[in-house]
Amino acid sequence: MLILNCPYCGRDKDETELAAGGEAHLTRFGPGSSDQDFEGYLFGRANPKGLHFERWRCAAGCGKWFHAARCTATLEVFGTYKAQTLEPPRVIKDAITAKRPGWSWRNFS
Amino acid sequence: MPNREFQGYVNVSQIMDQSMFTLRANLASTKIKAALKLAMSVALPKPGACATAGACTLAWMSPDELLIIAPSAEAQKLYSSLDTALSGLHVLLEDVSDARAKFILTGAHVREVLAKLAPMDTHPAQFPVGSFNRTRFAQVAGAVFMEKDDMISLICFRSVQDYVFALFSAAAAHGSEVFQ
Repeated sequence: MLILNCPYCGRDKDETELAAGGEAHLTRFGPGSSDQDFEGYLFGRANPKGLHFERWRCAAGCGKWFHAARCTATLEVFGTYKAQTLEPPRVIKDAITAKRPGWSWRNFS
Repeated sequence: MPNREFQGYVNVSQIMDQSMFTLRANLASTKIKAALKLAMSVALPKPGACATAGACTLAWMSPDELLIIAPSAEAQKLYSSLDTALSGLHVLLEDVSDARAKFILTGAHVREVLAKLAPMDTHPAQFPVGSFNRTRFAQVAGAVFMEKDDMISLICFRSVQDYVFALFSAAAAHGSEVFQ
Protein backbone atom coordinates (compact mmCIF):
# COMPACT_ATOMS: atom_id res chain seq x y z
CA MET A 1 0.00 0.00 0.00
CA LEU A 2 1.31 3.38 -1.00
CA ILE A 3 1.22 6.19 1.56
CA LEU A 4 2.11 9.72 0.46
CA ASN A 5 2.37 12.84 2.58
CA CYS A 6 0.33 15.67 1.10
CA PRO A 7 2.51 18.81 1.14
CA TYR A 8 -0.57 21.06 1.36
CA CYS A 9 -2.43 19.56 4.32
CA GLY A 10 0.59 17.78 5.79
CA ARG A 11 -1.31 14.54 6.35
CA ASP A 12 -0.13 11.08 5.40
CA LYS A 13 -2.64 9.90 2.84
CA ASP A 14 -3.39 6.34 1.97
CA GLU A 15 -3.43 5.37 -1.69
CA THR A 16 -7.21 4.95 -1.51
CA GLU A 17 -7.61 8.60 -0.51
CA LEU A 18 -5.57 9.80 -3.48
CA ALA A 19 -6.26 10.08 -7.19
CA ALA A 20 -3.40 9.31 -9.55
CA GLY A 21 -2.70 11.98 -12.16
CA GLY A 22 0.02 10.37 -14.26
CA GLU A 23 3.42 11.75 -15.13
CA ALA A 24 4.55 15.08 -13.66
CA HIS A 25 6.49 17.94 -15.21
CA LEU A 26 4.89 17.74 -18.66
CA THR A 27 5.49 20.64 -20.99
CA ARG A 28 2.27 21.68 -22.66
CA PHE A 29 2.28 22.03 -26.43
CA GLY A 30 -0.92 23.71 -27.53
CA PRO A 31 -2.14 25.62 -30.57
CA GLY A 32 0.64 26.54 -33.00
CA SER A 33 2.94 23.72 -31.94
CA SER A 34 4.12 21.01 -34.34
CA ASP A 35 2.08 17.82 -34.69
CA GLN A 36 4.97 15.84 -33.25
CA ASP A 37 5.24 18.02 -30.14
CA PHE A 38 1.47 17.95 -29.63
CA GLU A 39 1.35 14.19 -29.98
CA GLY A 40 4.19 13.84 -27.49
CA TYR A 41 2.41 16.11 -25.03
CA LEU A 42 -0.83 14.15 -25.33
CA PHE A 43 0.44 10.59 -25.47
CA GLY A 44 4.20 10.41 -24.87
CA ARG A 45 4.64 9.17 -21.32
CA ALA A 46 7.63 7.66 -19.61
CA ASN A 47 6.96 4.25 -18.09
CA PRO A 48 10.13 3.59 -16.14
CA LYS A 49 10.92 0.67 -13.91
CA GLY A 50 12.48 2.64 -11.10
CA LEU A 51 12.49 6.35 -10.34
CA HIS A 52 9.41 8.23 -11.50
CA PHE A 53 7.84 11.64 -10.94
CA GLU A 54 4.07 11.61 -10.68
CA ARG A 55 1.11 13.85 -10.01
CA TRP A 56 -1.31 12.90 -7.27
CA ARG A 57 -4.44 14.56 -5.93
CA CYS A 58 -5.35 14.58 -2.26
CA ALA A 59 -8.87 13.54 -3.30
CA ALA A 60 -10.40 12.50 0.03
CA GLY A 61 -8.56 15.32 1.74
CA CYS A 62 -7.65 18.91 0.95
CA GLY A 63 -8.29 18.42 -2.78
CA LYS A 64 -4.94 19.79 -3.97
CA TRP A 65 -2.67 18.39 -6.67
CA PHE A 66 0.90 17.62 -5.64
CA HIS A 67 3.94 15.85 -7.04
CA ALA A 68 5.65 12.75 -5.76
CA ALA A 69 9.05 11.22 -6.54
CA ARG A 70 8.98 7.48 -6.02
CA CYS A 71 10.31 4.20 -7.32
CA THR A 72 7.81 2.20 -9.35
CA ALA A 73 9.66 -1.05 -8.70
CA THR A 74 10.10 -0.91 -4.91
CA LEU A 75 7.31 1.61 -4.09
CA GLU A 76 9.94 3.58 -2.13
CA VAL A 77 8.88 7.22 -1.80
CA PHE A 78 11.70 9.78 -2.06
CA GLY A 79 9.48 12.74 -1.26
CA THR A 80 6.45 14.81 -2.18
CA TYR A 81 6.37 18.48 -3.09
CA LYS A 82 3.98 21.21 -4.13
CA ALA A 83 2.98 21.42 -7.78
CA GLN A 84 3.82 25.11 -8.26
CA THR A 85 7.26 24.34 -9.67
CA LEU A 86 8.83 23.44 -13.00
CA GLU A 87 11.32 21.00 -11.58
CA PRO A 88 11.80 18.96 -8.41
CA PRO A 89 13.18 21.03 -5.51
CA ARG A 90 16.75 20.57 -4.31
CA VAL A 91 15.78 18.54 -1.22
CA ILE A 92 13.94 16.00 -3.34
CA LYS A 93 16.84 15.70 -5.78
CA ASP A 94 19.25 15.23 -2.87
CA ALA A 95 17.02 12.57 -1.31
CA ILE A 96 17.01 10.66 -4.60
CA THR A 97 20.78 11.05 -5.05
CA ALA A 98 21.32 9.59 -1.57
CA LYS A 99 19.44 6.42 -2.56
CA ARG A 100 20.02 6.25 -6.32
CA PRO A 101 23.40 7.90 -7.13
CA GLY A 102 23.71 9.00 -10.74
CA TRP A 103 19.96 8.98 -11.36
CA SER A 104 18.39 10.75 -14.29
CA TRP A 105 14.79 11.19 -15.40
CA ARG A 106 13.95 13.01 -18.64
CA ASN A 107 15.84 16.32 -18.34
CA PHE A 108 16.47 16.09 -14.62
CA SER A 109 19.40 14.53 -12.85
CA MET B 1 -36.21 14.53 10.67
CA PRO B 2 -35.69 13.89 14.39
CA ASN B 3 -32.23 13.39 15.84
CA ARG B 4 -31.41 9.74 15.44
CA GLU B 5 -29.25 7.79 17.76
CA PHE B 6 -27.60 4.39 17.96
CA GLN B 7 -26.49 2.89 21.26
CA GLY B 8 -23.56 0.52 21.03
CA TYR B 9 -20.20 0.27 22.72
CA VAL B 10 -19.83 3.72 21.19
CA ASN B 11 -22.91 5.89 20.71
CA VAL B 12 -23.66 7.43 17.31
CA SER B 13 -26.05 10.36 17.05
CA GLN B 14 -26.96 12.79 14.33
CA ILE B 15 -26.97 16.48 15.14
CA MET B 16 -29.63 18.33 13.20
CA ASP B 17 -29.61 21.92 14.45
CA GLN B 18 -26.23 22.84 12.96
CA SER B 19 -25.49 25.35 10.25
CA MET B 20 -22.35 25.27 8.12
CA PHE B 21 -20.71 27.87 5.96
CA THR B 22 -17.93 27.33 3.49
CA LEU B 23 -15.42 30.14 3.22
CA ARG B 24 -13.00 30.04 0.32
CA ALA B 25 -10.34 32.71 0.52
CA ASN B 26 -6.61 33.21 0.65
CA LEU B 27 -6.13 32.21 4.28
CA ALA B 28 -2.58 33.57 4.29
CA SER B 29 -3.86 37.10 3.65
CA THR B 30 -3.66 39.41 6.66
CA LYS B 31 -6.86 41.19 5.58
CA ILE B 32 -8.80 37.90 5.62
CA LYS B 33 -7.33 36.99 9.00
CA ALA B 34 -8.27 40.38 10.42
CA ALA B 35 -11.81 40.17 9.01
CA LEU B 36 -12.36 36.73 10.54
CA LYS B 37 -10.97 37.89 13.86
CA LEU B 38 -13.38 40.82 13.74
CA ALA B 39 -16.43 38.72 12.85
CA MET B 40 -15.79 35.69 15.08
CA SER B 41 -13.13 36.91 17.54
CA VAL B 42 -11.07 33.81 16.94
CA ALA B 43 -7.71 33.26 15.25
CA LEU B 44 -7.51 31.10 12.14
CA PRO B 45 -7.05 27.39 12.83
CA LYS B 46 -3.70 25.83 11.97
CA PRO B 47 -3.58 23.30 9.12
CA GLY B 48 -5.16 20.03 10.23
CA ALA B 49 -6.83 21.61 13.24
CA CYS B 50 -9.97 23.33 14.43
CA ALA B 51 -10.48 26.57 16.30
CA THR B 52 -13.49 27.04 18.53
CA ALA B 53 -15.18 30.29 19.46
CA GLY B 54 -18.05 29.70 21.86
CA ALA B 55 -20.44 27.31 20.16
CA CYS B 56 -18.87 27.91 16.72
CA THR B 57 -16.12 25.86 15.15
CA LEU B 58 -13.72 26.86 12.40
CA ALA B 59 -12.25 23.89 10.60
CA TRP B 60 -9.22 24.02 8.30
CA MET B 61 -10.34 22.23 5.12
CA SER B 62 -7.52 23.14 2.73
CA PRO B 63 -5.02 26.01 2.24
CA ASP B 64 -7.85 28.13 0.84
CA GLU B 65 -10.95 26.78 2.53
CA LEU B 66 -12.51 26.96 5.98
CA LEU B 67 -15.66 25.29 7.23
CA ILE B 68 -17.57 27.28 9.82
CA ILE B 69 -19.97 25.27 11.96
CA ALA B 70 -22.46 27.07 14.19
CA PRO B 71 -25.72 26.26 15.98
CA SER B 72 -28.63 27.13 13.70
CA ALA B 73 -29.97 29.63 16.25
CA GLU B 74 -26.85 31.79 15.88
CA ALA B 75 -26.21 31.11 12.21
CA GLN B 76 -28.07 34.01 10.62
CA LYS B 77 -26.34 36.55 12.85
CA LEU B 78 -22.94 34.97 12.26
CA TYR B 79 -23.47 34.85 8.51
CA SER B 80 -24.31 38.54 8.30
CA SER B 81 -21.39 39.57 10.51
CA LEU B 82 -19.02 37.47 8.36
CA ASP B 83 -20.56 38.87 5.20
CA THR B 84 -20.06 42.42 6.47
CA ALA B 85 -16.51 41.83 7.70
CA LEU B 86 -15.46 40.20 4.42
CA SER B 87 -17.19 42.60 2.06
CA GLY B 88 -14.89 43.99 -0.61
CA LEU B 89 -12.40 41.12 -0.21
CA HIS B 90 -11.91 38.36 -2.77
CA VAL B 91 -13.78 35.55 -1.01
CA LEU B 92 -16.63 33.12 -1.40
CA LEU B 93 -18.92 32.65 1.59
CA GLU B 94 -21.68 30.12 1.09
CA ASP B 95 -24.29 28.58 3.35
CA VAL B 96 -23.87 24.82 2.91
CA SER B 97 -26.00 23.76 5.91
CA ASP B 98 -28.37 21.74 3.74
CA ALA B 99 -25.53 20.01 1.90
CA ARG B 100 -23.88 18.44 4.90
CA ALA B 101 -24.79 16.19 7.81
CA LYS B 102 -23.10 16.01 11.18
CA PHE B 103 -22.77 13.03 13.50
CA ILE B 104 -21.24 12.64 16.92
CA LEU B 105 -19.53 9.56 18.30
CA THR B 106 -19.23 9.32 22.06
CA GLY B 107 -17.63 6.69 24.24
CA ALA B 108 -14.26 5.52 25.44
CA HIS B 109 -13.49 3.65 22.21
CA VAL B 110 -14.30 6.31 19.63
CA ARG B 111 -10.81 6.14 18.13
CA GLU B 112 -11.20 2.41 17.55
CA VAL B 113 -14.56 2.81 15.78
CA LEU B 114 -13.14 5.54 13.57
CA ALA B 115 -10.07 3.44 12.76
CA LYS B 116 -12.35 0.67 11.44
CA LEU B 117 -13.74 2.93 8.73
CA ALA B 118 -11.21 5.62 7.88
CA PRO B 119 -7.69 5.02 6.49
CA MET B 120 -6.04 7.34 8.99
CA ASP B 121 -3.89 7.09 12.08
CA THR B 122 -6.22 7.65 15.03
CA HIS B 123 -3.51 7.29 17.69
CA PRO B 124 -3.60 10.21 20.18
CA ALA B 125 0.00 11.08 19.26
CA GLN B 126 -0.93 11.49 15.59
CA PHE B 127 -4.46 12.77 16.03
CA PRO B 128 -4.67 14.69 19.33
CA VAL B 129 -7.75 16.45 20.68
CA GLY B 130 -8.46 19.50 18.51
CA SER B 131 -7.30 17.84 15.28
CA PHE B 132 -9.34 17.92 12.12
CA ASN B 133 -8.89 15.66 9.13
CA ARG B 134 -10.65 15.16 5.84
CA THR B 135 -10.69 11.55 4.82
CA ARG B 136 -13.14 8.89 3.72
CA PHE B 137 -15.52 6.66 5.65
CA ALA B 138 -15.53 3.35 3.77
CA GLN B 139 -16.90 4.48 0.40
CA VAL B 140 -17.64 8.18 0.93
CA ALA B 141 -15.74 11.38 1.66
CA GLY B 142 -16.03 12.87 5.12
CA ALA B 143 -14.29 14.87 7.79
CA VAL B 144 -13.36 14.12 11.36
CA PHE B 145 -13.00 16.52 14.27
CA MET B 146 -11.49 15.16 17.47
CA GLU B 147 -13.45 17.21 20.00
CA LYS B 148 -12.54 15.36 23.20
CA ASP B 149 -10.81 12.10 24.03
CA ASP B 150 -14.19 10.38 24.09
CA MET B 151 -16.04 12.45 21.50
CA ILE B 152 -15.61 12.77 17.74
CA SER B 153 -17.65 14.86 15.30
CA LEU B 154 -18.12 13.53 11.78
CA ILE B 155 -19.21 15.52 8.77
CA CYS B 156 -20.37 14.04 5.49
CA PHE B 157 -22.58 14.99 2.59
CA ARG B 158 -26.30 14.86 3.36
CA SER B 159 -26.92 12.65 0.35
CA VAL B 160 -24.93 9.86 2.06
CA GLN B 161 -26.10 10.47 5.63
CA ASP B 162 -28.12 7.25 5.86
CA TYR B 163 -25.13 5.27 4.64
CA VAL B 164 -22.76 6.93 7.10
CA PHE B 165 -25.18 6.46 9.99
CA ALA B 166 -25.62 2.76 9.17
CA LEU B 167 -21.87 2.37 8.68
CA PHE B 168 -20.92 3.80 12.05
CA SER B 169 -23.81 2.06 13.79
CA ALA B 170 -22.52 -1.29 12.55
CA ALA B 171 -18.94 -0.44 13.53
CA ALA B 172 -20.09 0.66 17.00
CA ALA B 173 -22.45 -2.25 17.67
CA HIS B 174 -22.03 -4.33 20.81
CA GLY B 175 -20.05 -7.45 20.02
CA SER B 176 -17.91 -5.73 17.36
CA GLU B 177 -15.23 -4.54 19.80
CA VAL B 178 -11.73 -5.11 18.46
CA PHE B 179 -10.05 -5.07 21.89
CA GLN B 180 -12.02 -6.59 24.75
